[in-house]
Amino acid sequence: MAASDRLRACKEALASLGVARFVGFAGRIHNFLVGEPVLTLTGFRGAGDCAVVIAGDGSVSLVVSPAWDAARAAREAPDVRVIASDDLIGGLASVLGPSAPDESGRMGVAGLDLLPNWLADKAGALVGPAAIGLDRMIRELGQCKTADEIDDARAATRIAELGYEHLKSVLRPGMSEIELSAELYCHMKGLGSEDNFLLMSSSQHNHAVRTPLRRILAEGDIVLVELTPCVNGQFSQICRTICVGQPAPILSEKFAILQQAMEHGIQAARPGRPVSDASAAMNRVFEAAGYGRYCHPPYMRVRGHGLGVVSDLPGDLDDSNDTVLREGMVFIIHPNQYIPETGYLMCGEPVCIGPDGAEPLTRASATLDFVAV
Amino acid sequence: MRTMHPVLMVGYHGPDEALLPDDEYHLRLTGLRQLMSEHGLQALVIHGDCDDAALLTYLTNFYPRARWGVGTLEPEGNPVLYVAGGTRDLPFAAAQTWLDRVEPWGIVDRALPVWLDGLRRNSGQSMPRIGCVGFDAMLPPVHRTVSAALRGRAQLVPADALIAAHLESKRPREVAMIQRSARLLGAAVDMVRDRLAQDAPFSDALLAGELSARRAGAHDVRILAGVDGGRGLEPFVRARADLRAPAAAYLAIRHTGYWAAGFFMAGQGAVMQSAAAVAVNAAMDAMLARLRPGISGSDLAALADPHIGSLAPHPVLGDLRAHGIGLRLEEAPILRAGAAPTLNADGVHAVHAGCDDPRAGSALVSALVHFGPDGRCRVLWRG
Repeated sequence: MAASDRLRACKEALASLGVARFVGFAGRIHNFLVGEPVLTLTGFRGAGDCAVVIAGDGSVSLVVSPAWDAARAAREAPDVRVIASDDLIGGLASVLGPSAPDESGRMGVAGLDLLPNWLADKAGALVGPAAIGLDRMIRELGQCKTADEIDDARAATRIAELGYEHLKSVLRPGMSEIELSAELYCHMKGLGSEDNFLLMSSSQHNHAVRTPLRRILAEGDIVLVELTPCVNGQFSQICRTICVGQPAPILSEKFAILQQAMEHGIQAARPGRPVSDASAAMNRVFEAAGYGRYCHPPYMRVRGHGLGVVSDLPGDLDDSNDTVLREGMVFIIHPNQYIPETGYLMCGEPVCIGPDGAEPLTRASATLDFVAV
Repeated sequence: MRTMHPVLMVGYHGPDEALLPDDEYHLRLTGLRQLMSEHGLQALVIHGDCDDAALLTYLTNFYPRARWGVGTLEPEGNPVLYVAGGTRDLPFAAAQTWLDRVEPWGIVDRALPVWLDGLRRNSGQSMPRIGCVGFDAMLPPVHRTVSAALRGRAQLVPADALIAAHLESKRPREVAMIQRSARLLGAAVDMVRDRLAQDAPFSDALLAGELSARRAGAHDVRILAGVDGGRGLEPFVRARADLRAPAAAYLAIRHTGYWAAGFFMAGQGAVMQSAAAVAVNAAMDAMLARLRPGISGSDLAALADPHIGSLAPHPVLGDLRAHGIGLRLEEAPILRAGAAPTLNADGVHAVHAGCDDPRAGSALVSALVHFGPDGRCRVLWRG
């Protein structure tokens, strides 16, 4: 189990830092670009605010709110003691006992910034001002995925690809974006995706991808999709472009630039090299094609990013990110780009860094697709 | 009811002039400004996030899909909104609202002090009183940024309770919006039951209900599915082969910013006529027959509990009897046995009944209600 591996690694890291006890928090709001200490260490994704405690004796407790969600926590985090409590602070205090707040500086804490401020204040007071902030440590613990998490990433990728195939089979002029996205969202949920950062939009000249509107699809529309399903807390993502009707030749011509950028990005993403290498490699392709002035917002966002929720590392793929790529990192490479002649186009593959470089998790790379009308 | 928060609200939530025309928003602004004046507030600073943005949505139609936003409101002029997210997201955030100024979050630390300078000039107050809404719910980094921008330049007055009381009374168009959401809810629940009647697995039936709501334009759908014979509920976040009907379920649908939600029993057969199911339905009938403005949680308990008898309260409900619903899934008044709040004449409320017993079974049922001008209870939906 990924969580038990992480827990073991966390305990070792705490011991090396001389930290005797640790509390990690997670809030009710989930963001796939932000790591959650509770999920990282227990495998449990809470519906409410929750906390994981590693005690001085190495025992692990999970304080779950609302209390009625405790049975699910016990099933999803079988190796930890679950404390059900509608009062997170009260439940946590019962676990920490009379030695909270810790005055010795030997308590570590992470995830306070994931809680609503009123709760973070109380939690901070409970662990004490001497508690050492360990958010970075938790992020780094999760940066290289375990074998289970890589399998989950593959499973999530497969769901994304199947979702895309389903989209191609149902998309037709006259449908609204809402209708199409509803179909897509529920189809992927039916395949086992437990969440989805799904963006899907259309235009004859897109400026970015967005969430769906009531817009009715028509021939000539270019539909952009970013499918980001989740399996066991591990997200994966693919980015695709599909035309309603035969694409104009210029679309194929410009999409080929994205595909070339994709290839260069994948080749440049190697263990031991900084993330910025991959970003720069993709930007060079666009620069060579004459689109260098478009290689910054609002014409593009980033050239890829981490896929949480265990950790967001390696972070955003941009020229300023010097995070070194390591084996086991899972992230997306997406040279999505606004091209003045065609509008925004999308192309993206999730990859896992192996000993020889980035290995795409998809079975087939993005092509410029179309639905015949 | 706590549900699993999705990483992104996928469904459409844009302005709808037919349902919520401009004059509605201007009337809302007028009402809020009157409230500010009555409480000596020169401005409001309003925070909302993807979990709760009630007042922001009420005033502007804006709802953060994944992050947060902060709005400023003065006695004159339109509110200004600062929205977290990437550059590419700003046009779409602006398209959600009728406001003419939607700014990126990145400038808020510089913009708020400038705004405060203007407020001081306009109000003639060197330390204007600013009502703070949603500050407790801010993520700590957001709180630090906003607090630093305002500290020492204004008197910050907590205003959550004041606003919550103001939002308790629903405007006629708000009732209409909740009625729409309730119709979607009813259709989704019917879809679940229809699929179960066709022997579909419980998971497939719930998914069909969700799809029907999303197709109809719901921009958020949350489901809790009964497990362990309905004694527990779990967030229904993906298809699951282990879910079995008959069981209780909870379905929450948000359309155009307004929620409709509640518990219902799903399935067929003897369990649907279990002692627990009979008891909670009788309890609900008793409450609905006597529901009136001013009724308290204790009053509801007195009506419902004789029918529940010795059966234990359902663990998901505890002593919760009823609450407001609208821009939040659960909002004031919150009615529990022994607590003071009462149902108000102008609100929309969710009323719940539930029980759990090893022999009698588990059951949960809800109703959404509103009081007409004559004070009579209108049931918008019943589970």
